[in-house]
Amino acid sequence: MHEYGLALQIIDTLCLEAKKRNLSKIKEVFLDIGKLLMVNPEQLKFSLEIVAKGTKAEGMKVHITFRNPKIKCENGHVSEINFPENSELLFFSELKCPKCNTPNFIFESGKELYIKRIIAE
Amino acid sequence: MHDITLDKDILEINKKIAANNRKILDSHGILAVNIMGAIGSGKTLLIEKVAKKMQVDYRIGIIAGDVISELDAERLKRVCKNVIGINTGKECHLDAHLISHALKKMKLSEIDILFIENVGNLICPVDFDLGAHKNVTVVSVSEGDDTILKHPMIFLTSDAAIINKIDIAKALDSDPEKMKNDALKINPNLKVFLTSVKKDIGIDDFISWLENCYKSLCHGL
Repeated sequence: MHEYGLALQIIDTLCLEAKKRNLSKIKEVFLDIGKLLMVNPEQLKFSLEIVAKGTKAEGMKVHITFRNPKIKCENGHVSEINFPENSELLFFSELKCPKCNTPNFIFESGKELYIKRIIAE
Repeated sequence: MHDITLDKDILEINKKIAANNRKILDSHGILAVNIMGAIGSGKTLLIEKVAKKMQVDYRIGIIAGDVISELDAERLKRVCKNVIGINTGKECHLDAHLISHALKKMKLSEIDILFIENVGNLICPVDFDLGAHKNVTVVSVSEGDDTILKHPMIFLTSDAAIINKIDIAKALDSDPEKMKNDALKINPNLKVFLTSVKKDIGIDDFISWLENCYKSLCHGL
């Protein structure tokens, strides 16, 4: 369950921001997560609830949006890939550049975890 | 009530520290190899045997990560003098920050190849770049021959996969060739080794690959 490790980092970052900006309570957080991180949103929300206990983020509302990954192929084409919900194996083994059909590419993005916004007192 | 835009990638901090770790390792001409894999896949024994064989020609360093205890570090100290143990506590993976601290404690001028044994886990270590030059994942046939299909991300981000304990595959009804094909389906660029570390099968091929990686690194610096 890597969601717990990620939750620890999110709460650490939020507590630091709260201290830096002199905030008394974080009410809501908006997360933007790359689909390649393969985060289970329910597990992340549950982990955040546990880790936030006793901090300024306790009881905060969590909003999660997922981002599709981008690939860059050997011919320099950058494309956003519509990442499926399941069947990851087929996805990886059959993935090709949508522009030139080459199977040789690297992932340019997809493993980010952004804290986009917070609503706080 | 304040509405504040942060736009902060929490994993970016780890990526920056990892890049700095790589810079430090490069400045000392050290090849760092992150060894990942499930609990009981044979990571420690692999490092133990490879370190023992390679230290005839290379100076070896080891960082041994574990949730609690120095058991692996103590075991590895019997074959290598430059060993540091890291306890992650509640974390299920090593991260770049922990490695940066370990590097400060090591005599880097006395190391050619550094093995980093990650915490036993096929999921969490994927998210955290350590600054290593090569990522290696160890799986054993005893985990079931569908384990690779169940954990695609770790194989997608690895440079090599070691399918271990092939000597007992038949008894477990596991097919190492199927596992190899699954790994290559996920990542066609993966270098796959079929081994029985305990019986000394396939280790020399892995060592040859490491030697080539070390030569390429030194040539590139």
